[in-house]
Amino acid sequence: MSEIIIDRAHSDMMRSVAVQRFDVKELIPALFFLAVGLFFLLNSIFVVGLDESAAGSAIFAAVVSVLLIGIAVSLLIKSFLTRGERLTFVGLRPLAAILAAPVVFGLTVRPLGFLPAIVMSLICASFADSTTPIGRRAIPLLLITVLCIAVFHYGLRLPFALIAGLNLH
Amino acid sequence: MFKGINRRQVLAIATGLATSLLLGQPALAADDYPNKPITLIVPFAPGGGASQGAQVIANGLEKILGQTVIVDNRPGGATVVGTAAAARAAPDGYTLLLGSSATSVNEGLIARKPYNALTDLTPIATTVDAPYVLLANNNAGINNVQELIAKAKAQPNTLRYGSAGIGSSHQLFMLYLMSLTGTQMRHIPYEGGNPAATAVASGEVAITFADAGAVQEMVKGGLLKAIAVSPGKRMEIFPEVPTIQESGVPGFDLTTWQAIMGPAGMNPAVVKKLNEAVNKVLADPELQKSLARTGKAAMSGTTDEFKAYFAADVERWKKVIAAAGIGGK
Amino acid sequence: MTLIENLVFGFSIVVEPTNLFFCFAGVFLGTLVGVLPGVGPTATIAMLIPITFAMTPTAAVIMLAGIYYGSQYGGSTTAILLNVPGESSNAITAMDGYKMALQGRAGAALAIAALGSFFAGTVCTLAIALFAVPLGSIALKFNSADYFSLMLVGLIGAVALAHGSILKSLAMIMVGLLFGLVGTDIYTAVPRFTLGFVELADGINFVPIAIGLFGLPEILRNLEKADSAANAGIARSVGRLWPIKDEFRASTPATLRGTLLGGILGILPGAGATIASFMAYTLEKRVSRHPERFGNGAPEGVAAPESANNAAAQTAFIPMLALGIPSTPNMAVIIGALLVQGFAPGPTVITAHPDFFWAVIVSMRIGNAFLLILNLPLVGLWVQLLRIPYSILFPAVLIFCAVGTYAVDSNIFDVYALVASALIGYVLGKCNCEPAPLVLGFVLGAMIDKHFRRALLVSDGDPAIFIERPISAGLLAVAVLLLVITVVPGLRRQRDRMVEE
Repeated sequence: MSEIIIDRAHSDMMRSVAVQRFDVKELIPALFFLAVGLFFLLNSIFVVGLDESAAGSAIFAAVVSVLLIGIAVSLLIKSFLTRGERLTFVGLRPLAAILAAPVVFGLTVRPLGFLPAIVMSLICASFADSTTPIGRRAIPLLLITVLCIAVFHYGLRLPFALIAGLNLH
Repeated sequence: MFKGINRRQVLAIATGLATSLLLGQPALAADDYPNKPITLIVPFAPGGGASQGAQVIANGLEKILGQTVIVDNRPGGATVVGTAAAARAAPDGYTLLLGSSATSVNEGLIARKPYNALTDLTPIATTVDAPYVLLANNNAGINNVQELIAKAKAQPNTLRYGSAGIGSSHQLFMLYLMSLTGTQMRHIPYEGGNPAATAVASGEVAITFADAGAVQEMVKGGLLKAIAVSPGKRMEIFPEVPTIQESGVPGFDLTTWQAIMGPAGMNPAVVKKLNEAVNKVLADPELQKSLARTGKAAMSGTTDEFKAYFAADVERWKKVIAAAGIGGK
Repeated sequence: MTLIENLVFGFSIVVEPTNLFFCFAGVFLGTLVGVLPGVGPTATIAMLIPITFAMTPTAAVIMLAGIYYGSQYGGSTTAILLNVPGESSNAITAMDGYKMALQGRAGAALAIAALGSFFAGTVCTLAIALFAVPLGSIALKFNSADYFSLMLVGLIGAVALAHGSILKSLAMIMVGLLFGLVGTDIYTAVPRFTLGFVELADGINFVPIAIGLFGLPEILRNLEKADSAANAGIARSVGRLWPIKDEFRASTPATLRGTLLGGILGILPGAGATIASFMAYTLEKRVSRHPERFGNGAPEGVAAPESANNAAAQTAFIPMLALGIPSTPNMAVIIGALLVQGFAPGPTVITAHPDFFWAVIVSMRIGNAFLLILNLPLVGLWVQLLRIPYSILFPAVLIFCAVGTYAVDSNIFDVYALVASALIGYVLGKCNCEPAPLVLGFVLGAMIDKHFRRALLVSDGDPAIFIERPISAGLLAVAVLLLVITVVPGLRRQRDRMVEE
């Protein structure tokens, strides 16, 4: 498998690399396309149904998914025919932090309010950054929070309560 | 962190919290309602006709009630998403819903939704009445409803009519017309009322119903013809256009409406206060004038009148939808 | 009255202090809104409508129009500097614009975008002035069959967006197509591919996908580098503010073509600025003698989409002003605002209210000039902003994207789409799969399906309708031609490769 570098500051923790027998740059997309194609194809056949006239409900989707699966298979084959380079990805922690931050915001903005949601989301995002000490991060994050509130709450008047339950509109 | 707060202050805070929690109960609060901002959930996209109308009403209510009324747009699922959110909310009068014809239509159209409009919503007050106009392509040879019926009967299932989608008022009005006149026409759905009207102008379909205010310029510019209007009385912006009833289809008196509703279980005193506030907003002559210019009319009335109207509306559309065999998903 | 007299007349109205002020306010707001990812002109316009009730109809439209085309300018700035498209129509600008920024030529990229937009705006305003009504009637000539063929041309041209593996690009287009089909089918009212979630009943929103595929992976990529948070490889040096002569020469024909294409597509109610920018890019790549430059910082790759989307934004007003037909939701909002004032745009407007019509036209010129003046010096400001350490910048960008995305429809699924697209964009990007074809497939996917089936509904199942209608037939011919042009060189390359082996 490809290297996954967990923590940039501790490069000695790199996992060892097995012999590469395939080109991961073809394999990953192939698997992804296969998954998407299968999902839509199966959905087309069983959930939506392929009946109706030629102007049918899911025929277009079914045709496209079949083509997609075709490409996926050919990429799959190709991935085993060549050797590829290694891929490096950003660590799991930064990845999770970045991806989770918007979700944290979306899930907490209505129950908790705009302000807590932004704060929690920013804290989540800052987990992606392992090099800056916490102390130095506090003030900039505070500034960003203030900026967000100024722009989105007062400027654009988005209808989210600053703190849920309080009538600060 | 608690150094600065002593026990007395903690007690005060606790008492304050408890009192406000108590005061929040619907059964007690009618006199000082409203004492905090009200949210009006509008299950339409911001900026659209429905949302703008809601904004106007919200602004009027703010002045009369003395509290901010925030419009919270929650589009999605043909108003199901926003309506469900309102039905779930606490019935304390601080979360309201912009109900509309879609609310009653969905009762017959959408089987799987997380609420039942008749039991989970409180009708409060109707606001606006927006009739539709029947448009025809200039080259279709249709100048009035009688010619339309004749043509439709001569070639059943050939004439094409547009709509804003399955279950839209545009289609339902047409279905009702077809059921009253015994005609059959082909339905071509579009993404909205405006694309449907454009399609009539371009000739892709022969006729469609459309919101009168939205298409008045196209009619005035001669891009298409208005051959009839949907309500029982003629409309101010189309004074020479006959109603469908006048054109020989008795019993056709339809319009689309908007109203303020709330979750079920609201305090009747609060409902009354809101109803009176809405009616006061609707009595403003400036508002009535600007409504009239967009082809709408103020629709004031009591809560009981609305309740009856709503129930009848739900029934009527359930019948039309069932007869046409659409919906029920 | 001759054209000059009309323009002077309009000018005299626009320079009234109130109108001038609202023009400036509009474009300023528009730029800000354009910079913010996710939040778009529609929401802003909708929010400002109550204020317009206190203004004259003329001032109202001047301001609202300014917001609309101003947002196109603002969106290109973040697209170029941060790879975060501010508006969906800027997604394509990010492709070459950001690359230019990474090469230290952000200033040139911004200038090309601004100048291209200004040029496009000028030409199109003139077109509106001269040909408003005849141009508007083009909007009425297109039926569903024609739209389908148009989208097909766009789709085939999208293969040209690929550089690298054609197979992977095709696959990305198809993935985009399939995701574009999620939602309630308007012909059968059956929800498709929504897994029962009512929040998906209206389909997946485009905004989170654009931001997620372009902007967020960039953040992830920047965080990979050693001591990532302290300094990342973002565009630090903006470079000269003015493009060099070569860049000028490359961009000029691109701007011209983009303007023409965008101008025409903007009139059609079924198309829009986003499609215009995509098509202009693919057209440019097609006719270029060095297609491999695209995607690596080609100035034409910035000039074409930017002029196209501004042209489209301007000509989108034609159907509204001339015929009273709103071609996009934005126009519908503006018309709504005017209606409440008792003023309805339409064919009668030009003759009945010449002051309104000509004032709006001239205001578009002045607004564009304002934007030019606003944006070019603003570049200096952006440079300062970019000097902020990345450890502070990336949370800010991230939170703005998150809030902007959620604010569109308050739909948590938009955020899920954002995050999912980010993951997909990041991982697949590493595997040499370009995000742009996916976006194009997404935009076109749902529309192609819709128009195709509606055309068949209209013709009662007879597929000949696509060839019977002249516009559709012509476009289909173009599509076939494009297909041939695309496939043949590929075949020849395959043949050469086989010969080599």
